[in-house]
Amino acid sequence: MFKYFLKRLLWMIPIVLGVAIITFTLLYFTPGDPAYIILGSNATEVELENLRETLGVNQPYLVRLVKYLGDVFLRFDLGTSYSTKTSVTGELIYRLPNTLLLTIASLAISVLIGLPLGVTAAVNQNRLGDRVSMLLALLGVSMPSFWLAMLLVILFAVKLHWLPAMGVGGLKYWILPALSGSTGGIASIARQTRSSMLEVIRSDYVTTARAKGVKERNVIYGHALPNALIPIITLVGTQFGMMLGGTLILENIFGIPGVGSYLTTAVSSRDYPVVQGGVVFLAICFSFCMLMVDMIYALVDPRIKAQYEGKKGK
Amino acid sequence: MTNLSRRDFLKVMGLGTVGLVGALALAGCGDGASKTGTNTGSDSANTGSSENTATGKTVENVVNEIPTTSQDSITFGASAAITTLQPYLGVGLVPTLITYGVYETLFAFGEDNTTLEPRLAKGVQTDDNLTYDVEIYDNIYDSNGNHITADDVVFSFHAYKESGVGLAKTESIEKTGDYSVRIVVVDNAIGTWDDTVRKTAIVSEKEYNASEDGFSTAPVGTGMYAVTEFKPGISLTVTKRDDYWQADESKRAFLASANMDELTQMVIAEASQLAVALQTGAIDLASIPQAVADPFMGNSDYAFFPLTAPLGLQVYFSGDAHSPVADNQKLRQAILYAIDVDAIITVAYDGYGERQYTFGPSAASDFQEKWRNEDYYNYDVDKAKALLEEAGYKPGELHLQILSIGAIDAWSKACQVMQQNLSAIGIDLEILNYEAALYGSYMNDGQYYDMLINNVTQNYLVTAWNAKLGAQNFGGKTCTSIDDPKLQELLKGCLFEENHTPENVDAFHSYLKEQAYAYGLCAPQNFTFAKKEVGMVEPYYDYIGGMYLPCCKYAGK
Amino acid sequence: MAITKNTNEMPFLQIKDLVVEYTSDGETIHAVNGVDLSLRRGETLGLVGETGAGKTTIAKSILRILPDRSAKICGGEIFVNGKDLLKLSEPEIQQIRGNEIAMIFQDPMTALNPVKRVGDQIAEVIRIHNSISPAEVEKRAKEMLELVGIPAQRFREYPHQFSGGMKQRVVIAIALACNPDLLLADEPTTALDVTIQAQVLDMIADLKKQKNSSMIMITHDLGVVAEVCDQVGIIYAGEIVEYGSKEQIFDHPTHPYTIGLFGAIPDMNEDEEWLHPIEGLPPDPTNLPQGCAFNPRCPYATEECRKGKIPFAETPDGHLSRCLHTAEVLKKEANA
Repeated sequence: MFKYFLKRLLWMIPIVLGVAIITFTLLYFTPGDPAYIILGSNATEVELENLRETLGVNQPYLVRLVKYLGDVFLRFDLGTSYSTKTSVTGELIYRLPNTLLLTIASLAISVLIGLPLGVTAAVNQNRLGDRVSMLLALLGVSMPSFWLAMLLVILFAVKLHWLPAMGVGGLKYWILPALSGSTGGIASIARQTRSSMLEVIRSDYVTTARAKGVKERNVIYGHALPNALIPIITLVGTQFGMMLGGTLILENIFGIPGVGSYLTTAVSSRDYPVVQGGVVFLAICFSFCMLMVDMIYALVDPRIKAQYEGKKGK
Repeated sequence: MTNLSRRDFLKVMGLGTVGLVGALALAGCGDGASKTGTNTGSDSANTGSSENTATGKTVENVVNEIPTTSQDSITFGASAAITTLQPYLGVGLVPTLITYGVYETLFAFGEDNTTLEPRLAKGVQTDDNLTYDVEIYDNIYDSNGNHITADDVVFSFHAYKESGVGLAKTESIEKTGDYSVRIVVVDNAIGTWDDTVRKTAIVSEKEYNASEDGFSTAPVGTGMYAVTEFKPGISLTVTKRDDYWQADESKRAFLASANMDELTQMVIAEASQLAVALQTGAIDLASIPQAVADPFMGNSDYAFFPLTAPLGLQVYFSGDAHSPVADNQKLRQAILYAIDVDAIITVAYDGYGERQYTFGPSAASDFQEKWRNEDYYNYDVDKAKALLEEAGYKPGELHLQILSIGAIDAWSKACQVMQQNLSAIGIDLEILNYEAALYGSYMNDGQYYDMLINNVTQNYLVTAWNAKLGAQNFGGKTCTSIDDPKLQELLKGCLFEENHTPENVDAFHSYLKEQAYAYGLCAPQNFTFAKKEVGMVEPYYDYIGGMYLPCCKYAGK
Repeated sequence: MAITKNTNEMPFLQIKDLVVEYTSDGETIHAVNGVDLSLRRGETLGLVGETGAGKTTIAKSILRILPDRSAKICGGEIFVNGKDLLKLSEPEIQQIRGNEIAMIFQDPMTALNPVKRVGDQIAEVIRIHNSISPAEVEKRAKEMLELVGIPAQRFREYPHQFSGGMKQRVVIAIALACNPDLLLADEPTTALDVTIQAQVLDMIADLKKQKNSSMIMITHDLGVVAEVCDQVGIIYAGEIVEYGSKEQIFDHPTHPYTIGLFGAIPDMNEDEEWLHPIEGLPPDPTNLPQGCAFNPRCPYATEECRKGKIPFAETPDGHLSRCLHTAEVLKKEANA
């Protein structure tokens, strides 16, 4: 088991290296001028050229690539932002907790609602409960998170004055962002849960559990659900990885300084060090996330654990 | 389920969905429904002296109820991100609370945004407007007690220049005494000296070098305010210092005013959230885009401060040989006559804006009132058609491209209006909606477009003209590759201290107008709303139209 | 219509006129069509029939663990110890499942939950039906493992670490953990290697004897019936067509279908070149033939066989058969 994960960890090095090179190359060939963004419309060409020289964006591809890779892999330094002159690593570390919190809270709500919804749908296949659950899921997936966010703000902040409309602070500041962020997840988790539960629920061991006199609730949640979890965990894992960089809209609406808004601003202002650093950082996070998913597999399904351990037993 | 067939059931559920979504949508539109009503209210409330001229429905001199008391602290919202507080960065990255309030410069604009006032400087001597001998006060201390001397001034100028962001207008700077420096600037154009001494924040060399992140999170300046709390990306709070080095209030620069004890700027990127924050009381004051201003218009709980921004839209023609507009004055004139500026104001700025009468803001100090009465290509389709024919083109023959930034809503809308205007005289205008960085790499080269939309902000028209049209800035041509020696000659004939006379300025204006190389379209009106309790009596806007709260006047202060 | 012979004793299990239907894609499958049977304490009843004849459905009906989405018990009564199981509430039947009545499933490869430790799966049934401490539960679960011949130290292993035969032992351990009064064994040996089959059967028989349980043994293997059963019911198309003691059925099969079943077993004493399967195919359960369901395949069938339900008739040796032509059949069989 340990050996397996060590191997996976080592594999992350070429992955991150590949991501770094691809990102760098793509950005190098993307047209656009960081100097214009920094100096604004009033800048003259002389001033722009002066700044490009200082930033080093005029140097040839290979020189910049080698320097960049050296910084990242030998000095563990993701560089300094062109526009704000701040350390990319520092900024990402400052912002990551916000994004993580938003992501985890959103996903937690998604799972807490999506899972029972999917189970209800599967247990009542083709009956009212199924239809209502799937309708709710459809509603969730077709409701854009920013739109829901605005509706929630108007209801809970403007009309009812229950919750703050934006900002970063205690628990109550996270309720609306997490709710808005959870809808898409609710929908896909509910659908995934439904289909994998439908497969499991017909299994013999579920009948065995019933024949043992296990209460129906326990049959579903204690016996069937753990067997249906693998594809759901995969889904949650991917969603988690995607949300790390994709909560931009919610970050903007709710004024949360997160990784998503940082990266998007950087892309549009051609702040190369930030974009490269951010993508490499996210790649690492995503790899860890997938590793976590694999570890959870092993916790949930002993057969997978046996595979990791290399076919011990039968 | 037995009586209800499957199809019926789905139908019922479908209706339910529509109902649910509809209900939610209604909840969301609750505010919008009363739009018309509120608008009417606001119109009658703003009758003060609101002018409805050909320039659109600008709202001016609104009579706010005069408050009698004011708060000691203000929390306001702005869409700009605050990630760093460093002194030497590009435009718009650091809020003015820091650049004006925490850092100080040798000189600063006075209340009129034009006159240069000494701030850290005590006095200045120059014979040729190129070499300046500046003396600074000998009792300047920053908020950490560091004594500021000529060495720090020299260090600060170098740091700014080395950042690559610093405007390349300082030729050299040297220390001539403990409290005096000699600064040589590259030319004596209007604005060169201003820019040099007005934008370079003077900080303590020792303190700056000791800072691990270049004052990114904990800036130390000599100004009236010090940072008391900074949450990057969320909020910034500054508090008035009681140990400001300039004890003699009569000698303080206008920009060193500190009429409010504590100010907090919150980052609120979304326009609608800005309105929500103001409504819920999370913030006291905000500049609100016209589109979401309705709940506050004519609302007696809020004081209303409109401002026609000194930044507006301009349209340029390419001078590159590939373009049909390059060597065809009549064609350029035809196009300008075809553009309906009032329609642009209506569409791009919701009707709240003012047309321009020359290439640059009407608020600039060297703007001439008589231009308002000139025919500045006032919308005239017949004239446009006639000129097009004179230019040698038939309707339907021309296909032109205009370069714009898609993300800037007002620019895109202005381009769409122009597209419609030009199709009326038979010219097909294609809009190249690029993103900002891409736009930036094409905008200074006329071969990529026929027309260009842009804005420029300066306190002098001649500075704006020079920034966009001055040949020394773009390798011998204008920013859109127009090569016209006479234009350059006339520009040089009004740009410098010795020849910046109304006659010379008018001469350039007239020539540029006649040649129709570039054209000032309009400037938007910005709305700032403040809760009544804030007690603001008179706002102050800096030279680019940003409200700077420490210099505003408050009731009882 | 009761099958009980010695009516002075109330049977332990009595099923009366059980009818079960499945719905699938709008079609109704007539899985069980009026089954009656009874069983005394300690007795073993063998239910024999082809795949799809409705044997498993009968067993699942007793436990009420039919898939509730598609299956429906349309009528009948199932008495165990005098209680009508079909009238019990869900919590009440849950107390009976695994406790008074337990079931051994056909396929040990799929009957165990792959993500739960085998020990926990045995412990669970003990915990549900006994109010004893967790330590006591574990002790008894380990005893059950030892009882079915698995070392107690494998308590914490998972099903995938077990062989098929061992899994079936675990399934049996689960079924017997609470000393059930009635054991439903659904083809417990079908999925196993022939070498293990006998072991498992012996074990079931031993354990049953130890605990004095009654048992319904569902099988299509007449050899299994011969080994463990007291009574035998032959099932065809959801109906018991012949019912009697093992000896009666084996020595004097009377129903043409039963005779066909025996005929399909190759006789080891004679050198036969071909197997003798029953002619024709089992009937389509969505569209059963009128009258005797076996009539399309029956060499004795007459017009009468196609009219109405055939009642049980007593055969000369005193067991029951649903055939109108018993005399004729016996005559022909005697000649053969």
